[in-house]
Amino acid sequence: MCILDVRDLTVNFRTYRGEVKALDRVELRLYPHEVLALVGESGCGKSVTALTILGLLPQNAYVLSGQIIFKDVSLLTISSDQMRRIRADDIAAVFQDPVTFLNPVLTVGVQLEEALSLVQDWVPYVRVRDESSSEASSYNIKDYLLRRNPPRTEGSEIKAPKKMSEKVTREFSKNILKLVQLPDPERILTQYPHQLSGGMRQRCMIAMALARRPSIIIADEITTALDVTVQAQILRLLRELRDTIDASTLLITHDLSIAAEAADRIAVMYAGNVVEIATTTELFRNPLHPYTQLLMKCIPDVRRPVIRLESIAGSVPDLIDPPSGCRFHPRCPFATDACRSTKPIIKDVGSDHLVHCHLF
Amino acid sequence: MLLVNDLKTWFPIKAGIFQRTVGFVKAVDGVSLTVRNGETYGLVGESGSGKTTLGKSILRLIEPTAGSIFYAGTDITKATKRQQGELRRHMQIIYQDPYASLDPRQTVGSALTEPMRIHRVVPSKAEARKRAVELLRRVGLNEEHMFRFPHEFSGGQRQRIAVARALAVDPDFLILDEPTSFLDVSVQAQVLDLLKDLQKELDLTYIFISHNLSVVRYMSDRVGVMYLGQLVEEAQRDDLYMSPEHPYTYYLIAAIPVPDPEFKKVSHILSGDVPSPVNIPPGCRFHPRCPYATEKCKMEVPFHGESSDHKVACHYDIDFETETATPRYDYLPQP
Amino acid sequence: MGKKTDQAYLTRGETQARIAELKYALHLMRQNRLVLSGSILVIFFIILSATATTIVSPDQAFDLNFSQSYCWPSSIISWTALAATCPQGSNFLLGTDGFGRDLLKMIILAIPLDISIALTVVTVATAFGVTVGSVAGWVGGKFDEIILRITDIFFAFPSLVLALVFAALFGRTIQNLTIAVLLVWWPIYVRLMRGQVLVEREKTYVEALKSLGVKPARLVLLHIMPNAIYPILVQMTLDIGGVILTFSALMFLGFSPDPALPELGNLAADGIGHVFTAPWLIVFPGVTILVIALAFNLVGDGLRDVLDPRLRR
Repeated sequence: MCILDVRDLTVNFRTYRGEVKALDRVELRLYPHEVLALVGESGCGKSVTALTILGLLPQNAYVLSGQIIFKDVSLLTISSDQMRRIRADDIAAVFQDPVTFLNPVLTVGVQLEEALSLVQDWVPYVRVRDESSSEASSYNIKDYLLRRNPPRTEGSEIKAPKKMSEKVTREFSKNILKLVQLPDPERILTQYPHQLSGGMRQRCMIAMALARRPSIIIADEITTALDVTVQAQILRLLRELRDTIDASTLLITHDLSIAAEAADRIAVMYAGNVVEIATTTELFRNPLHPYTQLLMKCIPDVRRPVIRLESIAGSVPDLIDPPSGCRFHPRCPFATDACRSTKPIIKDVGSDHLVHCHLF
Repeated sequence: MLLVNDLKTWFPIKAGIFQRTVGFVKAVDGVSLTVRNGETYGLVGESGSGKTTLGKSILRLIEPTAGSIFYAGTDITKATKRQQGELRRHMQIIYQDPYASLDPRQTVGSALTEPMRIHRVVPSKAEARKRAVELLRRVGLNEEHMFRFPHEFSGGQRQRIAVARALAVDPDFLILDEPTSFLDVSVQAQVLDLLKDLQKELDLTYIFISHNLSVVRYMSDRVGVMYLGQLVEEAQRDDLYMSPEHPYTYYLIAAIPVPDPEFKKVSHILSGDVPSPVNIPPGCRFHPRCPYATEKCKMEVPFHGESSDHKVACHYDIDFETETATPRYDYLPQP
Repeated sequence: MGKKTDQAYLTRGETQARIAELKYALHLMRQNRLVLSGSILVIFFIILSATATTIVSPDQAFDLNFSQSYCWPSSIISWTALAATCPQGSNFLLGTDGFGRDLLKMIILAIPLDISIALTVVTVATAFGVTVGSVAGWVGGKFDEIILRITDIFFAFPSLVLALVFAALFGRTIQNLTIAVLLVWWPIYVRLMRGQVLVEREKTYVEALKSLGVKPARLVLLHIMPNAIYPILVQMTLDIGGVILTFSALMFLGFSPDPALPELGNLAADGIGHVFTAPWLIVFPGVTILVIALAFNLVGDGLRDVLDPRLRR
């Protein structure tokens, strides 16, 4: 039923000072058509989780145990070639800083076409009117992205040529850019990344991700580098796309408010563990894990004047020598002896709300 | 304590073989504000608004092009090099990026004692070191941290070191340039609380620059909103947030994600991109993005009332609930 | 605790901190095998240079015996048909040179000379380049332009030509030749340092220090220089091999002050005229130069790898 199943994932990094136990038995499930937010502060392991799913961990990292099952394929055991194939057309990633992730010497159009050429299954959605000129008459982007059946060619069977002409690819690219609400897509295709603003670049990256019609989009802190008003636009885009595309999104962010606005379910991470998962409304109505509760109290809410922000005592632990038992116990106001000695197991407290804590 | 009068900081754009000046980046284009003793003035804006340039211009880290800045009565734009050196003791800055603002080759102890010795805050080396240790403890670190290098610390700790360093010379006035943007939420809370405590304890005056309106609401007494080099609105904190008058302020507040999934967001979201200060639109700078813009907005520059506590640079009085705009009559010429 | 002990503790703390940093750097270097072997070789050469005169007495250089010149000890390995074999009973390990001296002993005597010349050139060039370069980078403006043009002029000359001209003008002594090589080398350091200072100057911490009231002189000396110096250090190690090569080339081309001077290039120069009769004269000194240059190069590479990612921490 779920598209992505991360089970018992443990990842370590080898460094000069020792082994960093970055992920500790992480469990996640991503269901079709949903936006799951992975929320946590720096060092909690959310980016590492994303990289492990994508198979892009650095050399000094290794998976100690666990499984990642994506559509019945175990991602951790397949070859790197197969993983690359999956990255090309099934799992797409959008990262924080498009400046470094877009090729600065190629125009947006060329890069988008490159993304489109990797996957040829958008071709049937292009209706070819005239065999001699490959001018297609309409493109049903939404049909394509929602995996509906390609439009039937009217009249006689006109087969779309195997490799679409430049013009057709460009038309399709324009339509994808329109989908991500970029004004004047014709011009943008001819521009270089540095000529665009941050928000536009981010939309281009989203477009490139969508072009491959992935089943999962991993968005790693995509709005962190953007201004507030632009961030609001991108978040609205994500909300609207959720209904348009047939993909699930793993939204990684450090900002609970963004998760509140954009996600269906939220997974809170701390120091390499997933400490709580619930639907967004449930989490905010009823935060159970002490870390989640304290985190919510730290955030200044712009709607109300705040007298004093509460902070969480102590600091994020060093993952080379993490605390015994529950990793949050040194900072937890409710810590008991059990918390110090044994790791808590995940408990389902009903209404799809999972907590990783001894108190429940 | 601080009075800024029509400050302008323009950066020349040079082009051509002879490097002629073809235009200006008008980062700060006519800003006037006052900061009273002991208060925190929040300066809000997005990128390109000029808020950081304004902060650095006040400290003359970037030389302003025109206008004057009065600190405790004296015009510091006309200060000599010597006077500037002394002023450095009174006005300090905390930078946004804790990873870049400390010399990577300097131990923490040395970073703290160096300014003390330069400004002769303490009589001897030993005294300097003692005071450095005290400062470290005050910001929540330990004596043993004196001998570590910046890269051994986390972002939050580095910001604390930066705060300790700024306090080493016993200043009266601090410019805080997005001090918590690069920090985690829980660390941010700690640092903000520390700043608030220090302000009370040492009777400091702050200018708090940030793009994060929630944080600014927490920290400030009065808030000024900047757009493209000018102040578009200025008011007492709660006044600004409860009843914003300028459309930019309104949309800025509306754009902030709120930690409440059931909160209905405003349906209007500001379209367009944050503009660059190279090509400034004529008339009201905000008119290309403003849903209430009229012909008048494209031609005339609005200015805000002189005396009221809530200043707005807009031709119209806008009711955001009903989405109606009525012209203001503040400055119509007398018949 | 008395004031004095407090002070002592605090000063000790600073040095301890820096020692710990050094230890980490050394550890990183030890990890790479190539760098490790390079470092071992360098240490070996330095020890050899220091003890060379005890192993081989310098008088040996003057022990000329033309009857046994250009001969190779064993007849088992025959270099060429024309190579002569040494008389029975002589124990020359690497053959003899044109003056009948033991080649191995001459090489051992030559190594300290070459290395000391290289170190002199590199150190002086660095000292000069660092001071001029940092001032040029910091101050900018006209001074910077002038310095740049001067370095450009020096760069315009092919290095060997410049050294040759100087040597021809001022006579061939070791000191003059060293100066000649120095003339070729200093511009690089000026440019390098200038570039680094330009980069550091724009960094936030420099502005922060300015806002604290740190004066420019102090800023450049105590803050910018320690941060800018890393590529220079790397360049220094890489250049040691280069200087030896240049110096040897000068000897090779016939600018040696004394044909009997035990210097690697000099020894090889002698061999040029006797390629078929005594090829070992070129091979062994040449290989020595190669190994020295390689050893320092490896250390330089290791330094570069160590200093770069660590700074990113």
